[in-house]
Amino acid sequence: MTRILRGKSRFRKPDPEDDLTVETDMLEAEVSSTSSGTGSQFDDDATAYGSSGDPYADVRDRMETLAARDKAQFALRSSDSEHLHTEPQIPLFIAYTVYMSYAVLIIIGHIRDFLALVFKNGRYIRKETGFPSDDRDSFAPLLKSWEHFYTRRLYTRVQDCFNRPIASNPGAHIDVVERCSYDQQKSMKVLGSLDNLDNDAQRQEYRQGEYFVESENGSAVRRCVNLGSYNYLGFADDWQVSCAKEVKASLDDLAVSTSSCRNEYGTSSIHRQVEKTVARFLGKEDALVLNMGFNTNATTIPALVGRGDLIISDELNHTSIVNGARASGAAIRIFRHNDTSNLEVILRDAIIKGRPRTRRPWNKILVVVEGIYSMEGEYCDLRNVVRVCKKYGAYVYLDEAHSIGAMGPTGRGCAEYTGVDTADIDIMMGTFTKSFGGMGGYIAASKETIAFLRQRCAGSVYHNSLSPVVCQQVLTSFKVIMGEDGTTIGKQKLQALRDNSNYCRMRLQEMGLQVLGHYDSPIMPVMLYNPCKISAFSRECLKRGVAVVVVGFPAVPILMSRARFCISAGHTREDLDRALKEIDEIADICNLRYARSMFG
Amino acid sequence: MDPSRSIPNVYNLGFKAGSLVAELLYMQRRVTLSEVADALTSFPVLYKEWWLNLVANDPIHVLVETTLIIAIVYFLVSRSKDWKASDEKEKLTAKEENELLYDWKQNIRAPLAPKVQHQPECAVIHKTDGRTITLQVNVSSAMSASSVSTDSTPVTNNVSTEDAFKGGAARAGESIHPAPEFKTVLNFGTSDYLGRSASNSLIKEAAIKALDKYGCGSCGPRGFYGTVDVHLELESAMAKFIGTDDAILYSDGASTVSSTVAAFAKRGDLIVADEGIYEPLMTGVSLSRANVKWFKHNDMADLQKVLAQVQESDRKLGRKLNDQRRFLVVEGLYKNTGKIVPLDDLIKLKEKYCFRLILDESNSFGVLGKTGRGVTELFGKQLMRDVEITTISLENAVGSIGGVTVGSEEVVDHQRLSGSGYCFSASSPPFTATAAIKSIELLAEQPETLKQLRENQLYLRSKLLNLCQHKLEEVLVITSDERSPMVILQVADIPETKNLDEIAFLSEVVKESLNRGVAFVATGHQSVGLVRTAPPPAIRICVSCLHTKEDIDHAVTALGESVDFVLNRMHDS
Repeated sequence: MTRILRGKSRFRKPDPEDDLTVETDMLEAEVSSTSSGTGSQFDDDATAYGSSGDPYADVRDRMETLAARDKAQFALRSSDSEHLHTEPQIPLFIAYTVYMSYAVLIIIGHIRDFLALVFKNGRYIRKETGFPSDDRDSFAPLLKSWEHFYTRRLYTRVQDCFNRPIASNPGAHIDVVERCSYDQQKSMKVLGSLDNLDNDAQRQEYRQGEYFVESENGSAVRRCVNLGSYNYLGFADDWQVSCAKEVKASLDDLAVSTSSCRNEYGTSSIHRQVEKTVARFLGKEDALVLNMGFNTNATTIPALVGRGDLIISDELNHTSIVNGARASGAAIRIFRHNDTSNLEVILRDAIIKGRPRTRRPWNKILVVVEGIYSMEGEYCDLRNVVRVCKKYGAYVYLDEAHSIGAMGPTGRGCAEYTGVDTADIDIMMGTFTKSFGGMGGYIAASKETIAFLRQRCAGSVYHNSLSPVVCQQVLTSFKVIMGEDGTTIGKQKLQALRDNSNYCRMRLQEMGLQVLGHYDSPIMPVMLYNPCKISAFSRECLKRGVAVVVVGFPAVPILMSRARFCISAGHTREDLDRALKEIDEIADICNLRYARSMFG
Repeated sequence: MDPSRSIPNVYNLGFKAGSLVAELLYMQRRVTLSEVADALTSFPVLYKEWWLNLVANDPIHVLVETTLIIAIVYFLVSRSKDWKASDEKEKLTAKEENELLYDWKQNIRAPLAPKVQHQPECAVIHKTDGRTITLQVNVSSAMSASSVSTDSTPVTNNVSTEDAFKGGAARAGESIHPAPEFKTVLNFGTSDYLGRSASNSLIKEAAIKALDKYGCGSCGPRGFYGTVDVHLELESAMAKFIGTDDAILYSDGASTVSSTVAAFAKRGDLIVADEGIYEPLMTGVSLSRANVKWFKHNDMADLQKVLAQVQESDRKLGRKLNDQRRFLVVEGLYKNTGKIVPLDDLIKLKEKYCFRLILDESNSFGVLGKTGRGVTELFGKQLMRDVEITTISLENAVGSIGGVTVGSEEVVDHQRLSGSGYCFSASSPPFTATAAIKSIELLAEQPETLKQLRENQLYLRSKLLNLCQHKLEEVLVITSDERSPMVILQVADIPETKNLDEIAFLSEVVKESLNRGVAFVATGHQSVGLVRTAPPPAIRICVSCLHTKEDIDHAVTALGESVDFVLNRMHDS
C-alpha cells in the first residue's frame, strides 16, 4: 500500500480509470478498517441529497475513490515516516520568470521614483500638508521605505484584484461592486451609478457586459459566482429561511452590542447557550465565546502560556497565533509545516535541554496547529501530532478556524475527520465567521481551563463581548448542523459541501492545474507563480463573472503566488460547472497547466 | 645555470610556484602539461636541497623551530582529545534522555491552567433596554441564588414571574437547574452612554434592514470579498463626521487599538506611553517591539522629564531626531481611571520634542466635546495636524461592534496592508456597520441626547460628591474627571481604610448594590497579563442619557446603603 502511495506526487496528473480501479479495493479495505465512524462517510441515504437526488451521480465513484485515497494517505496514517507536506515543485523556468518579473517591476518602480524626484511630479509625492509631522528633519518618515515601495510600485498595480466590495450577502452568487480609479490605480473608487461615467460609449461597454447588473440603488455591479467567501455551509444563501426569524427576534430583548465585557454585563443568556452548545458539539466540558476569531487566538495564548513556557508552532500558522504567541512572552519554536517527525525532534530536544542559558526545565509546552491551513488547503496531520504530544506530555492547541463545520461526517472538524478523540486535544479553538456565517471565536477545553480563561483571558476580561445577534446566528446554525431543528438540512449541507469540494478539486486536477491541498478540504489553492498572472487571472475571472481570491506576497512566499477557491454548500453543480468552464479557458490564456508542463 | 638552483631557499620555492600560478591565471599564457609535470617533479629535489642547505648553515635555528612545531602539534592533539572526552561525558545516553523525558512529563510539567479558587459568577443578561437590564439571578449554582436578598427597593426589583415561567419552559430539558429567576436592575454598568444599543429603535431598524439584505456574517476578510458596501459607507461617514482624510474599519474595538499601534511602531522605534493606558493599547505597545518609556499617569511634568531624558540621550549618542519614529501613546478618556488627558500641554510637549501622537478616543468619542467628536474637540485641536493617529472603538458610545482608525490618507492606507487585525480577520458583520452609521448620524441629528447625558452626569456627580462627603465618612472618593460620564470611585487613603481589603470590599459593595437593584462594576480584581494594565481597585459607574433623576437618586442611595452595609458586616466579623 505505502509503496503505491509513496510514488504519487502531490500534484498527481489525472489518472486513467483503470489505474484507479486497481487500487480501489485495497483502499476501501484500509479506510473502513481504520476506525469506526470515520470510514465511509458517504452513505446512500436519500435524505443526504434532498429531494432532487445526487447531482454528482455520474462522477460519484471517481470522486469517492480519489477522496478515499487522499484520506488513507494523509488523514488516517499513524506513522510519520513520510513527510505529509511537500512544497510545490516550482518549475525552474517559472522560478526564473518570476524573479525576472519582480526585477523588472522593481527596476521600473525605482526609475519612476527617480523621475518623480527629478521632475517633482508624481502621484506618490507626499502632498505638503503644513502639519508639523511633515518636517523631514525632525520626524522620521511614518512608513518604512521598502514596505512603502512595495505598496506603491507593486501592490497598487494589482490592487483592483483585492478588497473588492460586494453589495449583497456573501452567498453562492455575489454582486461585486464595479470600481474604477481616477488616479492611475493609486486608489480605487466605487463607480456607483453609470451616470458617473464620462461618455455613452463607456456606459454602453458596461451595459453590454455579460454579467452587468444595476443594483437597487442604481450602482453598477457584476453578478458573479462566488469562489472567494468562507461561506462553507452556505448559511449566507438560505439565511432568510434557516436563520432570519430567530436572529431578528434576538433584537427584541437584546441589543446590537452589549457595550460591556464578558465578565461585567456582557454575558447574555444566548452567550451561555452558545457556549454549552459548542462544548456539547465538540465533546468538551466547557467553552468560552469571544468577540473576534483573531482576538480569540491573540488573547487566549498569552493567558495560557508565559515566561518559562514554550510554544511550538507550525511554520504556516495564522497571524493571530503568531501575534498571540509573541504577546505571551513565552519562547517560540517553529516546526516544519505538518512534519511531525520534525516536531518530535524539536519537542524532545526542548525537554532534554530545558530553557536556554538557565537550563531550567520548561513549565509547559504548547503545540499549536491548525485544522485546515487556509493558504494551503491542507488539513493537519492530527493523529501524529496528538501521538507525539501525548508521548512527551505537550499540550495540543488546535485552531479549527476553517475546519469546524466544514470537515468530518457531522461537521465536527478535523478531529472527527481524522478520527482523533477530542479528549486528546487540550484546547480546541475555532471561529464562527466561516461555516456558521457569524463572527467571533470560541475556545473549548476542560472545565478548569475555561474557568481559568474566563478570569485571565483579556478577551473575556477587558474586551467587548460578542454581539447577542451574532450569538443567536451561531446558535441557530448549530441547531441546523446538529439536526436539532428537526430537518435534514444540516446533513444535506455537509454532504453538498463535501461533494462540491471534491468535484471541484477533481475537475481542477484534471485540467492539469497545480492544485494544493487534500480531498475533502473545501479550500483549494491553484498555483499561479508569476506576479502578472495574479492580476491576469483575477481580472479575467471577474470579466467572466467568477469572483476568485488571488494571493501574492507577503501573504505567501514571493515565488508562490496562487489563486484560492473556497467552495460552499450553497453552490450548485451548474454554478461550479460554469465557473470551471471559465477557469479552463483562462488556464489556456494564462498558461496555468503547470501539472502538465513546466511552461504551463 | 639557473641561479635559483644554485642557492635554493624558501623564497625561491615560493616564487617559482607563485609565478607558475600567476601565469596560469592572469597572464593567460598557455601552460603545457609538460611544464606542470616538470614543476611537480622538480619540487622534491628543490625542497631537499633547500632543507639540507638550511641544516648545514643554521642547525640551531632548525632545532629550535622543530621543537616548537612538535610542541604545538602535541598540545593541539592532546587538547582536542580532552574536548572530545568531555563532550562524550556531557552527551546523554538514550536511557538518561528517556529518564529526563519521563521525569518532565510525570513530575515537572505544569498543568495547562492553574486551578481557579474562586469563580465569581458573572451576571447573565436576559433582556436590556439600556436604562435597565434584566438579569438571570440563579445562573447555575444555588449559592448565587441564595445571596439574593429580598429587601431590595420595590421600584426596580420586579422579579417577573412571567419571564421566569417562559425561561423555565424553554429549558424544560435541563431539569437539574432550578427554573431561572429574573430581576430587573438599573443599568449603571455598561458603557452605552447614549442609549444607542438597546432601546434605540432607529438603530435596531437599521440593523434589521441590513440583516435582511446581507444576512449575518460577512464570511471573509476585507481583502477577499468581505468588504460590503456598508463598510465603505461607514468609513466615509466616520471620516466625514470627524474631519479626517479617511477612516479604516476593524471588526473589533480592542484589536483596532492594538493593531494600529503595532502597524506603525516597529523594532527600533520609540514609544513614550502613559502608565495608565488600558489593555488593548498596552498589547499594541508590546506587540510593536519598540523601545518603550513610561511616564506617570496623566502627569505632564513627568512626561516633560522623560522627554528631556530622551533628548539628553540623543545628545550623548549623537542620534538625530529623524533616526527613529517616535510616538506618544495616550488615551483621551482613560478607561481605567476616568481621567481626561490634558491635550493642550501634551501637544505642546509633542511638538517641542517632535513626537507623533497616537490617541485612543474609544471611551471619549461620542461623549466629550460639544458635538461628541471626542477629546480633540473638547480641547479645540485638529485631527491629523495635532493628533496624527486616532483610534476609536465603536463599542462604547456608538453602541455597535468594531472600531475605526482615522487619520491622513497615509495613515489609513498603510493599515490596509499592515494592520494585522484588519488584514487577517474577517470583517465585521454588515448589520453592525449600518448600526454604527445610524448612530453617527444620530450624533449630528439628536444633539439633545448628548445634552441630557451632560445633565445626568453633572447630577450624578453632585449627588455622589454629597454622598461621599457626608454619608460615607469619606471612605470613597471620586477620582475621575468631572467631564467624564464614567465615574470612578476609589477607596480613600485614610487611616480607617488602611486594613481594608479594597478589592474584596468593592466587589462586595457592587454585589450588595445589585441586590438593591442597581448594577455597577467593580474593577481591580482582573489580574490579566501585564501587571501595568490592571485597573486600580475601584467602582465604575457609567451614566447614560436614558437615566432619569430618580434613577440616579436611587442608584446613589443604593450605593450609600451598600457601603454602610458592607462596612458594618466587615466590622462585625
